[in-house]
Amino acid sequence: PAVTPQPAPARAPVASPSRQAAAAAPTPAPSAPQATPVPTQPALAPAPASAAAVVSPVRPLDDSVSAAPAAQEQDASPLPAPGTQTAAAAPAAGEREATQVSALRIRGTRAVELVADGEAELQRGDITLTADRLLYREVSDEAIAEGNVRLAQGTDEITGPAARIVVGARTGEFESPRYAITRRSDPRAGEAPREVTGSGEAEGLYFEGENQYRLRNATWTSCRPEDPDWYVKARDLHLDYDSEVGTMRHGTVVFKDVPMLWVPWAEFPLVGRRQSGLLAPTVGTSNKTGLDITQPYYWNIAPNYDATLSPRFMSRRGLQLGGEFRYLGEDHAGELRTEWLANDRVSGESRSLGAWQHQHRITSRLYASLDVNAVSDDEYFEDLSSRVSVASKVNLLRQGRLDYYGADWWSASALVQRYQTLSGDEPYRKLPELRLSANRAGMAGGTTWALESHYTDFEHPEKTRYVNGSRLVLYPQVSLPVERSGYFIIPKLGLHYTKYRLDDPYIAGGRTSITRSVPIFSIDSGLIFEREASYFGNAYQQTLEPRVFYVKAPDRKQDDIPVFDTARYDFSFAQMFSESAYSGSDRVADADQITVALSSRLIDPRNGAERLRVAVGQRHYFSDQRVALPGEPLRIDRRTDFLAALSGRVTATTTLNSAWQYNPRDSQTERFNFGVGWQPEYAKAINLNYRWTRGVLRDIDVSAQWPLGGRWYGVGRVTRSIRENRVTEAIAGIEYDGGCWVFRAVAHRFATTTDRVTQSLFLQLELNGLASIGSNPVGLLKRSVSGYGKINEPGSGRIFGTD
Amino acid sequence: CGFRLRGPQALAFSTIHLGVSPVTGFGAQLARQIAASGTTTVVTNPAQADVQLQILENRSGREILSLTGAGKVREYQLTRELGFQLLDRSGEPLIPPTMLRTQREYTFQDDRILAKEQEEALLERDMEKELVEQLMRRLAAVRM
Repeated sequence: PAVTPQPAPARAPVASPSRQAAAAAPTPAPSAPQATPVPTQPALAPAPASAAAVVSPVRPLDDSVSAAPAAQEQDASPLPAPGTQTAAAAPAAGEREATQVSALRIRGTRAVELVADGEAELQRGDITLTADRLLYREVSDEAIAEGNVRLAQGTDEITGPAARIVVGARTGEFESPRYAITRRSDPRAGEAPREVTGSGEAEGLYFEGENQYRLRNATWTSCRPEDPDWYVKARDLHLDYDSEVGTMRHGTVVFKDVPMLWVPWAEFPLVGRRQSGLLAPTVGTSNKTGLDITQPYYWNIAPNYDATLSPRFMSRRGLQLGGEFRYLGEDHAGELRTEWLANDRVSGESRSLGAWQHQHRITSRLYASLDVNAVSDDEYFEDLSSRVSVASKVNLLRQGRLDYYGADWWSASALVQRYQTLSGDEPYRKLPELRLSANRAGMAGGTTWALESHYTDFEHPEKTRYVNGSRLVLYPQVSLPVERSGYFIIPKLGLHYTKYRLDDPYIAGGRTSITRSVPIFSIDSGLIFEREASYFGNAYQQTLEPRVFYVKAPDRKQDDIPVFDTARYDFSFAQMFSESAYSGSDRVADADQITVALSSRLIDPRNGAERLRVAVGQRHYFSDQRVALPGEPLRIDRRTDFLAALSGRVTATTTLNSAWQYNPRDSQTERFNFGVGWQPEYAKAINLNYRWTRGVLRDIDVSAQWPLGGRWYGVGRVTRSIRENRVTEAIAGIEYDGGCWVFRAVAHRFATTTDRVTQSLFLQLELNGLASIGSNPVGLLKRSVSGYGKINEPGSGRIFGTD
Repeated sequence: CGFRLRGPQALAFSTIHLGVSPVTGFGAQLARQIAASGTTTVVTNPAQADVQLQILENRSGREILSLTGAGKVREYQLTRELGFQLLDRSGEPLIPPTMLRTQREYTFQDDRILAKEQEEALLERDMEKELVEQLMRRLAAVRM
């Protein structure tokens, strides 16, 4: 049948009742040798079960064509364009969109098959199948395409020489295809969505239902499809876009045409989600471990369980096995971690680490938690860890805890606690500690009643040097708070009662029991003023908040009380407004003192964000100090040091943080910290910190992440102790963003003892999309460089506005 | 110099649902502050609330600020981060996801760890109080 080819076939969808019995309506009679074909005898499917079903979800170009089957039977439809051949089929009851077929030439047999030849296109919903030649079988809903086949659905595209597809069921196969499938992750609130395009080629692609693809001898990459820097090559590859998991069998990871890793079986995330798979390996060297290679494997066991297995090879020491298991239940969550080195070739011993953190909600009011940490020997972290946060650890917690929230005004807790101490003396064990706290407002006369009480049994293994015993503290308090939006005044009266029962006579006279009662009176008061202000062209709401805090507590002789858990607080704003100068209950400071502070804030009136905060404060004493810890010199001053602080996000990209402690008696600064951070954009940050405390430390700390040009980024940190003339920690790293992969090299050096350092170098190649979870160097950089952004993860950490 | 005593801080909504447990220190403080505004009530059923406060992140962290020459911790920095958003009845954000951050520093001594634990708790409470204040200011700036 010769039909004048028309370059741009138009479409006229025709509604018909059911998909299985869909009408493929070759509009013109194939045999009609007409220059301007007129549809004759349009083939129609059986009458629809219900008249409503004929309405196609796709708005037809011409109403009369699809208005009713009857209209077509009468051949009343005007042609959209002369020479065009179109056909359409649609399912019943609106369950699926109409199928449209267009081509330069269409012929076929009613309700059996339709042959579209030349620029053939089949369309249903968002699926478009184009080919040089297309055969569509209505009964089986099967399309067979040959020559320049292209299947497009949304942003997905598969091309190849031949394909056979059951359109509705999404089954069938594609011969020698190239594919590119793009999916966007479904982010949690406050998280940026990620879009990952996986592409590659295969010898064969099999459709196994919607969102399911199986590929034979295939490649997959998250790089751009043409000339990818890396890809995985697998004998069998399954892409499951419902669970967003890719599974490969007999897979090889190829980077820059070099095969790097072969795995018999592996899963990987298709949309950058948490997914089982090999994480980016880390290759490094350190003076403690020698060559140090870790290849973590992430195992996503279930949505609420996962594990990371980290075999680690250290050339000097041997093979260490590490594992982390995390679990999350409806009422519990936890994490187990272990490391095991069967035989350390340096020390000749087996070395291990174990840690278990568990939180449990037993009822809506009763919570339990466990935090147990242990290492086999005191030098474990120093020898085997490359992380300063653990290498500097001295005490490892072992604690079990129960918390009961009786109501929003009272709670109780019980805990047992001890530490594994790696150097120095072990602290007292609390076996157990019981607490009861209550704070009830709105009682008679507008009063608030509060109770702080705890009972602790202190135990120390070295009984000859440390006295053991128990302590009961009861501190009932009553206050009469008057709080309005512009001012507050809170007078409070309390009685601090303590009873000690000691195992051995500790005090002169051989007594083993001590009782101490200290009444404490305080008034906390403040005013809040406001005004509209303008600084540097920006409008602000400025507050001015004077605060006065008075405390009176008589002196009680406490020299004969042992020190279980007590030390002097750091001098800070939080401490200035607390009643006692001591944390812990073994000393209750005598007091007749007033603390005066003035703070001012700049608030953005549009969203209530605090931009800048300035505060100054000082405490005045009306009496000399009598209560002290053993060895603590008594204060001779009537005034404390003067404390000033300034902090805030002064511009959209600059943060400031500084504190100054000044001693007016000796006219000298006791402590001065100044920090400034500048982060003009993601992964671009500079931080500068200066910390100085008289006679203790003088540190300068610079850290930055900065693009070096091209695709290179530099990252680093140096902490220098000017006082000790020594670099206590240094990190230097470079990162290269290859587009769909990242290379990092990070050198790290930190002091472990006065004359020893740990030095290490890590190399890492991260293939985007294949391994989605950060590992060792990334964690180090995130902790050490404020504002560090993972360069191949531009979405993360950016979504929260910080203004 | 233009300063005047702060007037009543009425919130622009009459009911709010808090996506944070009322028995936790933070939740209880926040609920008290909202109740103290006088015109807004905290409701337990989100469907009845004019606005919903969703807590997206609630993280506390402790990082080493400085080391001694012997490689032990001299100062710690505590950080507390609270990510939240405020949604109206139709689920549209009145306040988009926003992160509030606060930090405190303290000197550390391993041989006084029991006392330092309690000092840390004091600073945690102080930070919690500051976060509640910051959050209240954000809520007060909402116009409906």
